[in-house]
Amino acid sequence: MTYTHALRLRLIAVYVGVLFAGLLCFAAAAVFAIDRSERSALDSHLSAAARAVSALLDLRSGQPAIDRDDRRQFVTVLGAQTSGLVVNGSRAVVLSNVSVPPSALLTVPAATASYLTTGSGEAELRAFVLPVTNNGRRVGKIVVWRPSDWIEETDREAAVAFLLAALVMAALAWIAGNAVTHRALDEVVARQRRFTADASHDLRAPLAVIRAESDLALAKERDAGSYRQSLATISQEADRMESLIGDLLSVARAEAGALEIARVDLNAIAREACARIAGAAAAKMVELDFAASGRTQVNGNAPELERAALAVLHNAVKHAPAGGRIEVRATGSGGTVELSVLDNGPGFSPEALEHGLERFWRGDALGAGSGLGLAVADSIAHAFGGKVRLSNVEGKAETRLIFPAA
Amino acid sequence: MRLLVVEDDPRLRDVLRRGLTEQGHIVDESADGDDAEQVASSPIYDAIVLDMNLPKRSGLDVLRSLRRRKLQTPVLVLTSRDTAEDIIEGLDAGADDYLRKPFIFGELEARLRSITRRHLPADTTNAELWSGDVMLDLRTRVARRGNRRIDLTPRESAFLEYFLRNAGALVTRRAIEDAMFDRASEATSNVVDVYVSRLRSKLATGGESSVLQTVRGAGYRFGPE
Repeated sequence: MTYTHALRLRLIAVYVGVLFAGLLCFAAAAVFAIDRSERSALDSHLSAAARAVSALLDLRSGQPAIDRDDRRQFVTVLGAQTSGLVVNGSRAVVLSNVSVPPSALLTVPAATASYLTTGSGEAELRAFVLPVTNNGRRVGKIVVWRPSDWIEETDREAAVAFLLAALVMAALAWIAGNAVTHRALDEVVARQRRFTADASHDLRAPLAVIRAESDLALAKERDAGSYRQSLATISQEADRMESLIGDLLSVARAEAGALEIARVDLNAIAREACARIAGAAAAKMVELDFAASGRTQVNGNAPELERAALAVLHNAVKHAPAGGRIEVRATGSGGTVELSVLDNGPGFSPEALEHGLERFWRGDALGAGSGLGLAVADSIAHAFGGKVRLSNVEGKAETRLIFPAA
Repeated sequence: MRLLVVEDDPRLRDVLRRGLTEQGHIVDESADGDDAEQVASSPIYDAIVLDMNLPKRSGLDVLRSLRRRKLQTPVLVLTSRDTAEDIIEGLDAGADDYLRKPFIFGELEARLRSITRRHLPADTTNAELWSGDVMLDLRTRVARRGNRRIDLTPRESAFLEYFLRNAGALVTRRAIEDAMFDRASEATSNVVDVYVSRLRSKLATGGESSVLQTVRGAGYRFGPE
């Protein structure tokens, strides 16, 4: 369990880390956008105020001046939060709504209309300078400004809010991830463990016979007949191991996706598989009936597909009664190609319908075989985008290998 | 010893039977859990070799049910599962020992001797049974009286083993039949008498004193007159 625990923690940590980093990027972008929009709103307000002030000014003997009514207008135009001043050509303050304007703004050059930021921290100001001209000659300037330290304050608050939200989301993701992976991973590991235990059991069984048989044969001098008998048993058990290992490798290859895929004809493959099973069928007096129709091209690997077809046929021969009959049909229609094997045995039991494709599942009565046959067929079918379906048709067992047409 | 081998794999069962019979044991076989539970309920077995993976009923179930019914027969579990949990579970269910498949035949025999020794006096070793000057080496199946080596057939050595294990006690013909003949063969007290008299003559040749007494109307007793 510690292995899955560590794996799970790593998965969740990576997932939550990526999520958190993404949220932080998003937050940074959002704060930047808020900052930009606040500053541009402030700038356009300042420039509008400056131009309004400029409209109030008169020019008397080439210098900016203002009459009494417009002085009141000047205060109204600026409003409570905006400060402003007008300086004439000889650098005298003509007009201001503050008693002591910041000296930096009095001396600021006014070659062109421009924005500037002065001061820092709480004293930060954003100002707009507009030159006053007379016949193309500069005769003074208008300066309007506002404190801008609040923008940074707003940025900070937004950043803190986003960070908190990101933390909450990361925590939720951790909890949810934990809950989801817990069950899923444990199930996968349990299945894997069962598979390993089953595989090792099934490999050890023939090995135990080989070991015991050879120990016994070597225990003392015997006649040739009993040595021959022992070697025959050992050889049979070696066959059993070989076919089991072949099946295991085939499942592993199919699941690793390490198979070469080409366009092959399922009809030809099924015909070949039928020919190879014919001996076993004849030994049991079981009649094999093969027919094909339609276009039966599929994308797959011929030797593996034949292995899958053989596994299904083996199963059918095993369950068909002596003197029975097996119908094998390869049909292509409507985008799928199907190999159907129908035997006139007793049909699948409800347990077989449910578990028949699981590895090492065996119907109890006929306990021979590796228990991998249909699972092998299923793994191979999956490797080529196909599937295996078990069903009972009028009480007879039908196994179908279904593939997408090539 | 009379043994019960419970194993569903026919080929392993067969080689176990041949090997253990060759060692002078009397071997009964059982192939599934239900049958095993029935057969093993009889107290005639000296030990049971029990596979864990059985059809119908698991070996673990069989074992638990035997122990629940106070059956004390030593049980050696044969298993292809070898995780610590499996072993602990088996021993806690009442197994006396376990052996992992694949196993070495000699080890199986040694472990059988070991679990059956536990019911014998403390001075017996794993490998030898003694009574007076008569000795049977359980590993080699060689019998001796004093320094004289006695050649016995596997069947005779099984009889001697049985008598040595029950030395000094009265054993009835019925008990001998139960211990010495498997389910398949038909035991008659006549056959028992034939084996006993052959063994008796091999144990006491020349002027040696008799060590195997007939108790008239009851059975036999191993020991000096």
